[in-house]
Amino acid sequence: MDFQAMADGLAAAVLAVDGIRSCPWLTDKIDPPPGGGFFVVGELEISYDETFHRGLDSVMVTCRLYTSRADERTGWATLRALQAGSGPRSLKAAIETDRTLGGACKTLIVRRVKGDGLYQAAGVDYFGARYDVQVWGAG
Amino acid sequence: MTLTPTVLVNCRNYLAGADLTAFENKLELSASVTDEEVTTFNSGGWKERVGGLKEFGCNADFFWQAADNSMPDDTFWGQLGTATVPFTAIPATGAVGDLAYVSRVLDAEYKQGAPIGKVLSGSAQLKGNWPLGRGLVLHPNGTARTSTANGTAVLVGATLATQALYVTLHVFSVSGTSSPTITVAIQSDDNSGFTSAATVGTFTAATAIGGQTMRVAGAITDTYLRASWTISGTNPSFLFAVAAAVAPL
Repeated sequence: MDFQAMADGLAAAVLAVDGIRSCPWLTDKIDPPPGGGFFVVGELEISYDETFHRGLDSVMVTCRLYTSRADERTGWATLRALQAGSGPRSLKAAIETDRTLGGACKTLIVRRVKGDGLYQAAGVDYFGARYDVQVWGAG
Repeated sequence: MTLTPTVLVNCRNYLAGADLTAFENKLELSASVTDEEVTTFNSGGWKERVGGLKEFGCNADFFWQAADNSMPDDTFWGQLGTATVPFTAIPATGAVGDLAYVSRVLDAEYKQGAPIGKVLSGSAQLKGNWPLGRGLVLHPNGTARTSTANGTAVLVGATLATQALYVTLHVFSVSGTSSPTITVAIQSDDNSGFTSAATVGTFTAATAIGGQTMRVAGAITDTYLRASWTISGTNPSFLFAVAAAVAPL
């Protein structure tokens, strides 16, 4: 599995949600649009050799979602809306629309969102949450 | 003596026309002999035993996938209850000359399932329906063959009159037009140059994904074996594997 292609695929998939910008690598240049969110593909925890002969690897990808803290009520409401499990503003649904991310992996599932809270990047405060996305791909 | 442990990340399991290697993450081969007690008053106060009937089995865990006879669901479900399924297990990469366990099996049990959100998995239980032979790979999977040729000579050893040569053929993919066909024969000789090759046996011509077994009763005095294949059709291409072992008749 090409891990950068996988990250590119995740960052591209969330753009289907209105008001989302994304980055396929860990960055501190966070730029959520007004009423929207900024999605960052972060750390990888890779488990090699899920089947024999390098047939399958699995990756737990930690992604981050940031919303603006300029207006607290709007920032939290946006965060909550994007955490929906389904619907037009659901990041989970957007990522799982094509579970192969355009051929970059074999399948995936957005397992959970956690860590709602205040985050700081480059000295600026944001509301944010962490997504755990499990991805399986060729070894 | 020094230990060189094997971290099992590379092994091959062929069943009928399926190379299940990239789907499986656990493969367990077990062989046993029944314990028959023959204690008598002359045994000196200790139990005496002889080995009775032998049997073997194989348990496999895998990730589920279905599409055709090269896939685990098609294979384990399609062969369920069949007692003559060609079986090869190789605790290595499957190169020519690698150690291989060879037999035919009863596809006895097939389970599949997973909790929500987990990868759909399965497990299968295979039970031996022939002696389990400990032999060698004669032809590896992964090398496409497009024309008639002979394989590499492998030193397997002679087959006594009380033994048989057990051979498995697994055809994993077939492509081409005008009825692509492959006929695999097993040849023997007393030298690795195969200057006087003799045909030990020939599998039925194969035109589709599938597997076959062959048992040839000893004695076979030649110690070298090789796979030899005849291919016909237009732009034919085959992926297949052959393994052979000597075991009791």
